[in-house]
Amino acid sequence: MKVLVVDDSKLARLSLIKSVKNIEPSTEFFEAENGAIAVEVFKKEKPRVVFLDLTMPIMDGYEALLEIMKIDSDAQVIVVSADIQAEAKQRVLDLGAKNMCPKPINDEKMQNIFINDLIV
Amino acid sequence: MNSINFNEDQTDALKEFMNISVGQATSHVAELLDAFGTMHIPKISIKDMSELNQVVVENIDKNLNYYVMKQLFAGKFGGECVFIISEDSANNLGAHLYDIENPLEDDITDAVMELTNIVTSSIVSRLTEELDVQVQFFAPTSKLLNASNIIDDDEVTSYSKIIVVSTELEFKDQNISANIFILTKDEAIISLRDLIDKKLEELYS
Repeated sequence: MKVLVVDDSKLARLSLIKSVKNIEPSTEFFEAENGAIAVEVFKKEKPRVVFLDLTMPIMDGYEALLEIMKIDSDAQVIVVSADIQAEAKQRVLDLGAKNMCPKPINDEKMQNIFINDLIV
Repeated sequence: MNSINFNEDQTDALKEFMNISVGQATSHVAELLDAFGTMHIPKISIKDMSELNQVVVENIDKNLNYYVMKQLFAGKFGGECVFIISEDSANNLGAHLYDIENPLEDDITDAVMELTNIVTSSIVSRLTEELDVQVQFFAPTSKLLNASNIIDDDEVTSYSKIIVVSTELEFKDQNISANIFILTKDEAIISLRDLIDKKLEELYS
């Protein structure tokens, strides 16, 4: 399974990859440090799942989500963000995200995402 | 060249911890204001204390007056949280919270103090939670100052190096925005770096 991890923080990407690996060890990961790179990687690699941060330079997560959903309306995007406002969650769900998970990610949260939100 | 430095991974980690902390603070303020806040990417730098005034002034309008709230916290990770909000933003905050067009001076100060308390305690508490340490908060102070007087000379001579973590809290629809600076100095910087290294070691293990 291909997974795209989008976050401007290397630490955040590493934490998320570690959590996914604990559930799906054979996952092939692609990383992007902003939304613009993410959209390009998404076009090229067509990942099964995208984990997307919101607050990033160059192109933020909202815009990247919009672009990704234009490319593939069935894309499975999980927003993982420090922005835990109810309105932020509603906005990304309206844009087509499968769910939004508050940072920091951990194994328990990732397990719930795989059980409840993703078709893999 | 600073004698105290953070490498790329340490800076990235601190920025991410700060991002999570500001996210929590933004959410709490959003509840208080019943509004949506825009989050900004935190900026981190290590400076000589004499450079602090310049750092602050770069982020605000030199011609305005600001409410400046300062709150000390102590412990393994100690420092000072400085919350800066312009007079106009503070007026808008008071008007929004009290639902009146022209809030009284006391109401504005009260609103700013409440906002500061929520912001500083949310940010520092979440940051220390990420670092697995406890801190003690001291009573905040509040002053209305001109932009050029926000950092006073006593502070400049008290410390040598500081780490400045700055970000903006922005509620566009209400015309409310504020700057937050977390200042940590001398031994606390080393302590902070050690705590971050410990977290990174756990992650890489």
